[in-house]
Amino acid sequence: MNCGKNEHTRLTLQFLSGAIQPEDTDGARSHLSDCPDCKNLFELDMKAENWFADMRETEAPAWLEARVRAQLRPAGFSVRNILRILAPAGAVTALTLGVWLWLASGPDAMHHPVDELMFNHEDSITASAVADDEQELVSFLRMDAEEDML
Amino acid sequence: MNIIPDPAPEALQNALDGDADALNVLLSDISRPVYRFCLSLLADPAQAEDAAQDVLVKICSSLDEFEGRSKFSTWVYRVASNRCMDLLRRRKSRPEDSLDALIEAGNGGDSRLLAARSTDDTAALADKLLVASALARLEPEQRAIIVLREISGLAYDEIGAALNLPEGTVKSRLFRAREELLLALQALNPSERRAVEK
Repeated sequence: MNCGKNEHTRLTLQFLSGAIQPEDTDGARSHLSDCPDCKNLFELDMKAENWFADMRETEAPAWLEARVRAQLRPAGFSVRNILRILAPAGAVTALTLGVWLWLASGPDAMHHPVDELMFNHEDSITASAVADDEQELVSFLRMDAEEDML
Repeated sequence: MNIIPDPAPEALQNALDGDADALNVLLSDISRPVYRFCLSLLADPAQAEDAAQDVLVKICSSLDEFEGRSKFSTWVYRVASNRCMDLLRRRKSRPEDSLDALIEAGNGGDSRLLAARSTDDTAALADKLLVASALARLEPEQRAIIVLREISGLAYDEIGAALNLPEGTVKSRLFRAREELLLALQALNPSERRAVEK
């Protein structure tokens, strides 16, 4: 079989990866034994397979895990754990601060528009009562003065 | 093999709650596969050690980010892939990517990249250098797909979940990556080089 460079690469790859059609297997096998280029590719692929197999057995350096453990913060001092502890304390502090501010702002802070309206209403009632009293006094004095003149 | 066991939900929760024993078990389960993945992908032992350490610290300190939508092992490889591919993209043209530099590293006694054993002869060492160098010529994603499949032993759908790719795309890209690897091996192969030089 006289094949181009890409074609025999593909054929060899298909054969090696098992992606080749069953009816082409025998042809590919005999081609691999006859074609020096494809045979060369097959041998190169075997080298790659050997390297993969060796890499699958590679050990990590003994110190790697120890170094990772040392880099990890102790669990009790992790940011997560600190936040877990601080969250309720923070809530209590915020609540206390809120109550304190509410109390510290004095009775004025208790004024509500409705209260204010009621206060104003009461004031106006008082004022009108005073005005009525004044008018009554004036008219009484006036009557008194007229009687004196008579 | 490199299969990362999926921890039981209780074990994961214990590790998340800061249980040192649970965290140690988790760490010992993932450290070797993560290191192998980083070394195979980065082709640089010193950088692989740093990357593996970063990845392991990131995983152990952000377990609460694992939402359980994928397998735990897939999540681990996703974190590792992101870190290593980021390093590969930032790395422009580095001397480690050349065959000569890899040979130099091998002669310097740092044989982790080559996974060489004391019984290895010179030819076997040269073969390993050749493959490591050919893999280093591929695009970061192509390297990651090959390493996840051939070294980490992930299924197509797991590779898809780790690299955020559809399963069909993984299959076609893996095939293409293997093809590229073979072509790179062919180009770097000393006998092929000699033939070209003649």
